[in-house]
Amino acid sequence: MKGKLVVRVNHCVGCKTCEIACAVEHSQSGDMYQALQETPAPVARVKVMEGEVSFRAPMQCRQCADAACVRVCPKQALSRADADSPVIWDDDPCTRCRLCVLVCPYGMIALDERSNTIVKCDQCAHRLERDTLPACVVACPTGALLFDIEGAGAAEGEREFLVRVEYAPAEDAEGRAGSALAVENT
Amino acid sequence: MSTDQEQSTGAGKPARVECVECGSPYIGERQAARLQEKLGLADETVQRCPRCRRRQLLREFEARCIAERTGTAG
Repeated sequence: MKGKLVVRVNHCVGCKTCEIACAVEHSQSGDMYQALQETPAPVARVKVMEGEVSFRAPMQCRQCADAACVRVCPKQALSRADADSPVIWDDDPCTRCRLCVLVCPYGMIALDERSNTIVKCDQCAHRLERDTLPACVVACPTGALLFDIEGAGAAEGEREFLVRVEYAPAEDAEGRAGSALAVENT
Repeated sequence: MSTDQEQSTGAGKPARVECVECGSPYIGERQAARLQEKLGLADETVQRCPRCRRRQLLREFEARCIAERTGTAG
């Protein structure tokens, strides 16, 4: 499955369920209760940030089309399969030079000191391979996080945060209802 | 783009670019220049540390969201 993560900031209530789902998904065990006891503690790739006027939005890697992090990495530790795929970090070649952290124009890449890993949203690439929606999308209770599946009829430009879309619930591979389709760009 | 001159001359370390928002010296001056040259990063990007870039993006979204709510978008 391929697509784009779309965030409808007007729907975000700041519950941080996406953060928990992301951390659990990227934990060693993949289980919430076991993840709580893991060392180092699992880290979420999405962060709900609060603005100044009762505004909250989940912030994560925006998977730039011409990603500076991919271009700058001297070891090709950050790469993507093709132009529409998320940027994936590979542990082995990475030297932790932090160039990717420095060049990200949105400040969405970090080096987690405790686990000594680069932390960035990979759109749950391992789930996408199984045709399953990203964990944050499935977990979001208000539909603020959508996954715009490629070829599902959405118009160009929906990577923008404030796009207005119709919400069409769908089931993921595990049979759970998730926010899946962004079908109309008004 | 401000730099920490004391560091560059006193301790013999390369000058560091300070974030224009929080003031933290987060990147070497030469490294910043190299990255700008190599990647064509905007001045506004290099002038801010990653944390402040994130805040800046949030502020932009907030402004657009308010404009959307109040019907002044566009």
